[in-house]
Amino acid sequence: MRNDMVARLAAANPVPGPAPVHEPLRARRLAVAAVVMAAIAVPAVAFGSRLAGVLGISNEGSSVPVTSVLPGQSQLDQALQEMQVGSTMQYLGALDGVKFYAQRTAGGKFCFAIDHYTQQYEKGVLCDWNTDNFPSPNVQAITFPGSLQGVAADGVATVEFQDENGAVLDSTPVTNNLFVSDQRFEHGQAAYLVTLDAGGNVISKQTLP
Amino acid sequence: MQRFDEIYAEHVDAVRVYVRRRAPESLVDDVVADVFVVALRRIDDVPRNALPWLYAVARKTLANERRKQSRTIPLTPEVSYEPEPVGDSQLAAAFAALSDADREILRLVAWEGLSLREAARVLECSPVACRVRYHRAKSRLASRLAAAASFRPEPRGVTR
Repeated sequence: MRNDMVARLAAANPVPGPAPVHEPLRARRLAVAAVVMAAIAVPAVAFGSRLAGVLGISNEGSSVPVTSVLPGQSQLDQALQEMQVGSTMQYLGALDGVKFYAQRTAGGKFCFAIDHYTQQYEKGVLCDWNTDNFPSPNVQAITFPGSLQGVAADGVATVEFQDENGAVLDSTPVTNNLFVSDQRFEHGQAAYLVTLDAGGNVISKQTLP
Repeated sequence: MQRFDEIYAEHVDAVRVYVRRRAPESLVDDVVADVFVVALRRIDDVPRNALPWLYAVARKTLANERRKQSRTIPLTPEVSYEPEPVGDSQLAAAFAALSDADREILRLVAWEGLSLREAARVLECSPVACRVRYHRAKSRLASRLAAAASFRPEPRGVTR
């Protein structure tokens, strides 16, 4: 009887369930939208931040103290420290109201931070914890999962979010390896991150976490 | 770092689902990320059976998030929202009437599929105390369901 009740409760599990109503990202605190997917080994590239061109993209940016990246965001600042980003990041520039910073961790993982400097809440840190780390043939872009905001490899002209059926949900151009879209998606809506060259040819199709 | 990678790969989906069962979608990414930042920082404290430990961190992170929001602004319906049982309105009503503590232990067993020993780790109580809490929660849920079932509203508005 009591086990029946627990089974009844288990059957009424709300997740997975119908997708909740979309809430604009603007309304929420965007914290460490962080870290990762999968990984097995730590690359042997240590102290990568001290090497020239270590980001692996043409836009190498200019070095700034990590403490200046997300001022007042103690949680994000702490996250950067936890990721062993080091004492500096490369400021890659601003695009459509978003400042971009990037660095490799001591373990060689690519991390970037965004700061919507005109808004209070939209800030975040994301590190690619995959073994096949950005940029690589299969990983031509790295983005926050809820919106096209990230960094693309050289040669990528456009990035897209596609759903499970391959339908394009959002598309935005890449400028100086950076891209920003103001469209927001709930977790699971976008299934793939697709990169295209200037001719519209698909370079890579990455499954989103 | 390799251990963190393995823990992340193995458990991120479960942690995400755990959070989605307790919080609005707008908080999920933040809370999941925070959980793994804590795991990274305290990797030496993470036990071999990591999932209950991660759930415990997620539980505290959610509580902190709610506290933080309630300090700055009145708790909005969105932030205070908790997913409820679906497809069974009677059960949902009975479940909603339980205390937070009762709901949580029932969720851990019924939705997360944890053993009572694992649930005790999440709730940071002894296995014995957890067992007692679980059985009492089930009894209270059963009582509320029975009360709901015995309530028969008078038919009305049916005339010829």
